[in-house]
Amino acid sequence: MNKGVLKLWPDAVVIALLAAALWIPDIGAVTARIFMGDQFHHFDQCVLGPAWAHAAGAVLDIDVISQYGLGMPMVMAFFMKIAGGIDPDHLLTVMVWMYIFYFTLWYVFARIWLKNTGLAAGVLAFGLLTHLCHRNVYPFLLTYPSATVVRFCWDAVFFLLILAHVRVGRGIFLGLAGAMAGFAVFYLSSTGMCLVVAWAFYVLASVVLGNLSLKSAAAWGLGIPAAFAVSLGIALGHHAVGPELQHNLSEFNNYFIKGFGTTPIYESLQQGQYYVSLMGFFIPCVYIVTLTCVCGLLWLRKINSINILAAVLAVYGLAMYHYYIARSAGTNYFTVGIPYVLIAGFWASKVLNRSSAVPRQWAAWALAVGLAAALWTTPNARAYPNVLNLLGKSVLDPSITRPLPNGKPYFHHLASGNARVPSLNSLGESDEQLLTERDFTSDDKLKEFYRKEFDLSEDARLVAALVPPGEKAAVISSYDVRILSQANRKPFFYHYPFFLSRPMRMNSFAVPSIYTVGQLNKTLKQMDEAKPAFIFIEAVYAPQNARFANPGNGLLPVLMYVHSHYTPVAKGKYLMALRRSAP
Amino acid sequence: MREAAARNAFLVSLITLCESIQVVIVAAVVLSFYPIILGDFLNSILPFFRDMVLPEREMPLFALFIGTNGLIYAAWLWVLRGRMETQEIFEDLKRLFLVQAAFVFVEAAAGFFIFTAGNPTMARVVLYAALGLCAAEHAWRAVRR
Repeated sequence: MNKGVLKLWPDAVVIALLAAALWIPDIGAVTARIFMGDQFHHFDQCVLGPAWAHAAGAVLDIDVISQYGLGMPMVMAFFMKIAGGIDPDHLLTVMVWMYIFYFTLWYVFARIWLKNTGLAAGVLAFGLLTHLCHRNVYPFLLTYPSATVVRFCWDAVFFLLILAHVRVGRGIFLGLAGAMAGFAVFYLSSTGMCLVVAWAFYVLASVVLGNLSLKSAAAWGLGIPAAFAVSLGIALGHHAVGPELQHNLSEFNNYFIKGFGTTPIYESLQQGQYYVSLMGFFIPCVYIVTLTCVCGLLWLRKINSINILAAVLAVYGLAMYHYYIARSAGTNYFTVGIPYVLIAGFWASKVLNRSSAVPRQWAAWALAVGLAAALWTTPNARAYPNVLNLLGKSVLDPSITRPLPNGKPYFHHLASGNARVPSLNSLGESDEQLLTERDFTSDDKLKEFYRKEFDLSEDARLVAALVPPGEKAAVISSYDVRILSQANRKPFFYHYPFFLSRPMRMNSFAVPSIYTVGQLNKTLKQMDEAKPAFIFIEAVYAPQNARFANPGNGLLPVLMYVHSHYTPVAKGKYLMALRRSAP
Repeated sequence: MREAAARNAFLVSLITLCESIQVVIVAAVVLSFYPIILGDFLNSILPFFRDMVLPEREMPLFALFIGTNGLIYAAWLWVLRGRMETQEIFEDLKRLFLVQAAFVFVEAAAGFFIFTAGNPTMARVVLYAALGLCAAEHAWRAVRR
């Protein structure tokens, strides 16, 4: 074996350890736990809903809303299909693989940039500690796809391309990085725009420093709009140029700008989370000091051009940090914290580079081991359901599925406090089966319960029998994503998933994911204009119960419309089918 | 020489950070006297979700923070042109940083009590006094120069 390959063994060990730390051996049990915790509310709203709609032939942000970008659900649907199908198990599998690839790419980046295996391993451990095992994530990050690598997975590839350009100087890498940024805008506009800003800064700095001509910068810059336009055109066809798409894409951004869903930056202070608040202020300070210091020294020609990567990372970090500035919850700064991790590695390398080669290697490995130990002793790292943590344990073990900070069970934590309707549930029973972690004796029992509860084939058959293939099915249910995918039908409603999920057996009303008067009117107009022949609705929303709907959300007007225009004709397990009776 | 330039550049970055934080604090204090007008927006949100409307000015303040940093740093580079690699400015920069950091610490402490202790008068007085002293210190430095 040649010496070059032998030199790579520490890297191979680090990547193998990373894969072992991230790999989840029992995906089924963990998916079952997520189902019991939030009934896939976060999975459905972020990925599975729009991914299924796309796979079924709906046009995203024209037929069905996609709150997290146009391309993301398409890409995720593609990967889930490769993994075996669009469902929660395969979404979790895809996310795990994405994390393994993502952190491996950042490791390669840090390894080449910082030229130190130990330091790169330390960066990796710090990345896992900061992002994946953050103390405020409950019970583990992959429950919330919008806070994971799903949001910003292309940045690792982008920075590797920029690194290649800095080292080799060939324009093709700059063009590819621009194309990557353009595609990322299509994938998820907010994080994509951050990459565009980082690209523009890098090019501008290179031009100012004389490393790049303005002409070639402009030429390679065409890759950004070209990649965006091509992706959009392929995905949406003629819809890509219409005003409807533009309006729909900007809808949620406009709410944000006006203050809907934002969180004040001092909220964590008022909640007594002082460490979280301190970090929230500290991270942008690190970015800004890095940016100014590195730019100043580059301007004075006192450091070589490879250091520009720290400034580009800082610009990207500052751009990404707008997410935390708008939604300053303690659970958000880690979501956009990866550039901070890399910059911490950069400063550590500057400190270590003051010593000679051998002590530097030892110190770097000591740092890596220290960070790995810190990671290993973090409760959230101990709770991550990987091979080591699950050795001889069930996912139901209190160290893996920890109770909520207020001591209440994790299972059904989103819905258990809902107001009840004075009636029986959709099955005509009073038993809601809101089981807790303590009600299951093994992972197999948990998985068996999950499979039974999440099998909605009876309702799917009802939908498939009354709605011809290729047509849209109007389903008003907490599990509409599952029912429609089992029935293999397109969603009818633009605002889909229709509800913020709650267990099907509950005799309570779920809250529709309709936030504004405009969205409510759009939903009512859809039913009035398209006049679907059948509407499928959970039996608990029967006409005699409609008066119990909360008048403050959109459910009451929807139920009033449905029950005044449709009459029940058939019953599945949870759903009843209503046929249009009024013109 | 390279080492001296690096140390000076780092100190100037820290001073710039302190100064831009104070610019943001001043802007936030001034803006706090002008409530955000929502207009019809609140009525467009369904009543159930209206408590999720928390209008804020944190985005423009963050942009101000970044922009001010760039401008102040560029100004510092211009003021110190030709001297960034010299040892003699290091002590001056260090002293200036310590003074600025002390101001920021006092203002941050006052801000902490404003947000966590129900906006007490004493905290506001300390904040305004620190900002006033800092402005006076800047003016004094300018006159002396």
